[in-house]
Amino acid sequence: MRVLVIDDDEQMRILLRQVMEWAGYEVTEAGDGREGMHKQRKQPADLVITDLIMPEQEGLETITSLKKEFPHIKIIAISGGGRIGPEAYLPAAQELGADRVFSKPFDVRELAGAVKELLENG
Amino acid sequence: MAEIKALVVDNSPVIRKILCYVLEGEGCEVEAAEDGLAALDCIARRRPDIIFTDLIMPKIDGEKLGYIIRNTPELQGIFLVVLSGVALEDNDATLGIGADVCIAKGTTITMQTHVKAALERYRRNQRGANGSIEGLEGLYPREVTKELLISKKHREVILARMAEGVVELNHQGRIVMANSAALTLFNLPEAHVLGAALAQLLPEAGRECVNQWLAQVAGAADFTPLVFGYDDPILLGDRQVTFNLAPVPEDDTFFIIGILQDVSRRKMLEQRQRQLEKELQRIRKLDAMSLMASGISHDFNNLLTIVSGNLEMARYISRDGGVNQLLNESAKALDLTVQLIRQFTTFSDNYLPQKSHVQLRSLIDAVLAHELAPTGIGCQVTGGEEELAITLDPDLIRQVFVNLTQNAVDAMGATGRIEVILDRVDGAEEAARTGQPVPSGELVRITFHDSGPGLAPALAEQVFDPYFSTKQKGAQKGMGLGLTIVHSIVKKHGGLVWIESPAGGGCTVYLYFPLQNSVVTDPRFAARAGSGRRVLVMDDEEMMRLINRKMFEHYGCMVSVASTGEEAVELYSAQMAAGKPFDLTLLDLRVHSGMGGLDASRRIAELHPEAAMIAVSGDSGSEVIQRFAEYNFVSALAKPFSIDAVEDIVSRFL
Repeated sequence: MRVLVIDDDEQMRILLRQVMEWAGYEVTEAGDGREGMHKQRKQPADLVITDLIMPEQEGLETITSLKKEFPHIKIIAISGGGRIGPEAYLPAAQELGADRVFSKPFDVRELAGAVKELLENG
Repeated sequence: MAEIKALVVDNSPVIRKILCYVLEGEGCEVEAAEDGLAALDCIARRRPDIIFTDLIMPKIDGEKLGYIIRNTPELQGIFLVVLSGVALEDNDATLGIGADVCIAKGTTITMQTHVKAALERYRRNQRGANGSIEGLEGLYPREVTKELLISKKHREVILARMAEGVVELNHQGRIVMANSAALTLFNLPEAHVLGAALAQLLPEAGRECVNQWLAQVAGAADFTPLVFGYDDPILLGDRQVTFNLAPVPEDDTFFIIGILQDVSRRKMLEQRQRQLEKELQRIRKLDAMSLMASGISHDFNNLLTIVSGNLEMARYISRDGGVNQLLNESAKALDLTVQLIRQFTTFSDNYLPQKSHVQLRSLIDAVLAHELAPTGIGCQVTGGEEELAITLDPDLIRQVFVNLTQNAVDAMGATGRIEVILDRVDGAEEAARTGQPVPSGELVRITFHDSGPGLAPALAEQVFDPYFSTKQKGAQKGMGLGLTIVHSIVKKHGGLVWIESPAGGGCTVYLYFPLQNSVVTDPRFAARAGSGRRVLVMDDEEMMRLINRKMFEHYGCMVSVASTGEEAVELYSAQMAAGKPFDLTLLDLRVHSGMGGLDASRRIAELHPEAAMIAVSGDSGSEVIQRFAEYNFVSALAKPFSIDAVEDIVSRFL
């Protein structure tokens, strides 16, 4: 099973990679939505963890594109809140097709649990 | 037959003498007084059976004396004879005072006849003058008298209409004249005020001052006025009244003119203005915090996720008990940090309340039950059982009551009591009553009282300030943000909170939240620029519609969406028909199918020439975007646009 991690923060990507690898998944990293789409087309992942506020392509747009091209993909959206407030984008992400949403700071064990659940039940 | 007790009141010594002579001749026991005030003293000493009074006298005149007699139950029965020197010129006044006999002053002989006749009428108990004036024969009206009477009446009208209270006191400080404003301030009928010593109508502090001053004026002929000014007014009932008492020398004595002014309202308005300033200052402080909170929360949340994630990983990997112990401690501290940042983010202006219908009463009941369970503190909640039309963010409001309860518990220690009352109030009335900048409109008021030791008044002003705490500071003990958070949350809901520590002990927090459809009028307290405005967004991409909706809702706008030009035109015309056109319409110029933004804008302009429309396009170089004004748009936006762009639009057009 492969997980694609899209986040513009390198440390966040490193953390998510470690957590996912410890949980037994292969990991692809991308620094923004455009790169994420590119890598997904080359090497499709089963689940995507994406930040919502990033330069270049915003997370909400990425979620829409992912769902369009890969209807069965599982998506977890993470938001730290930009100018609009920590929770404002999360309902939008869910409406657009994110299976689970987390707001920072979150507990990595919960995240790992959610990934496991989504991949095993899907 | 017992002697008839008669009282003669006239300022002319000659007339007094004549009347006394006539009445004594008739076997009466006669007393004489030179004016109404002296007459009142005679009456108080010994109630006469019959009074002969002149009309025009200094101090209290015959008209007022008659009024007092007829309006004082124990004096009402006195037989009243009026001797008027102006009977021809002013028979209204002569007849109007409720006399039993009216006699025009004329020659001594005719007066003597009529006085005897009046006495006879008294003996036969024939009461009521019935509009007749005796002794008019042989009298002619005098023009000068008429004119003097007119000017006297004129002055009386002016006095009666004055907003300031005006009183005249005699040299003993007794009231001989009070205009209607003065009577209102004393809140007493004229019959009680006239003849009374002014000092007796004042509260103790004022009484002392007035008496000492009167002694000084009389004893040392020192005519310095006595002033109770704006800063030390006298309390009459619940009114704060300024007094200016000026002695005026007259012959070898003096009288006093007093001006009274009710300054309660001005004081109250000033107090409200001060409270408003304080509240604005507090909001400014919080705004600065809010700005910082917005910036910090994003960065901190990111960093905290990484720190806590790595800690978790380390704990997972490490098998060393000692290392794990250290990591556990770090994790605990990190949890507290996370909680603190969470609290801090509620200050952020961008942290919007997620409002929904809240049953306030059950929410408060639940918080109290939970927070008070481990303590010995009792509570009582009253009111709010009925359904209130109010929408609040339940999580934030819960936080408000958790913070209030925790503060109360900390203040009370082991035992005590919390009382909460929910009711509805009118904002304007509440503002007038409390002097606090309570928003106007219909409000829910929550009175949260604890029986703790209370706060010093000076502290009550400061408790909402950030990092103010009466407790020992520290991450676990509380950071002094509890009430600041309460303030911030209440403000986010368009409400107000203030605190009072009554003399009886304890501490009371008052919270107000506007009911739905209730209008907040003070723009300084209005939620934000776009609040309540209606926006139509047309975009064929679902995501763009969603994002636009979120962004405008962030500014309190009500958003409708359309995916094609046709739909937008239809929505607009429906709203026009309802008389509520949109305040702003965003139109995407290029749509995949159906009518585009440009055509839609023309159709909408036909429906509503004043429509404010903004052209939106992914192509910033487009002709319409570049020269939007020529195409009837108020502005243009190139996609993707940021929240800053939306903020700019809201502030410019909404």
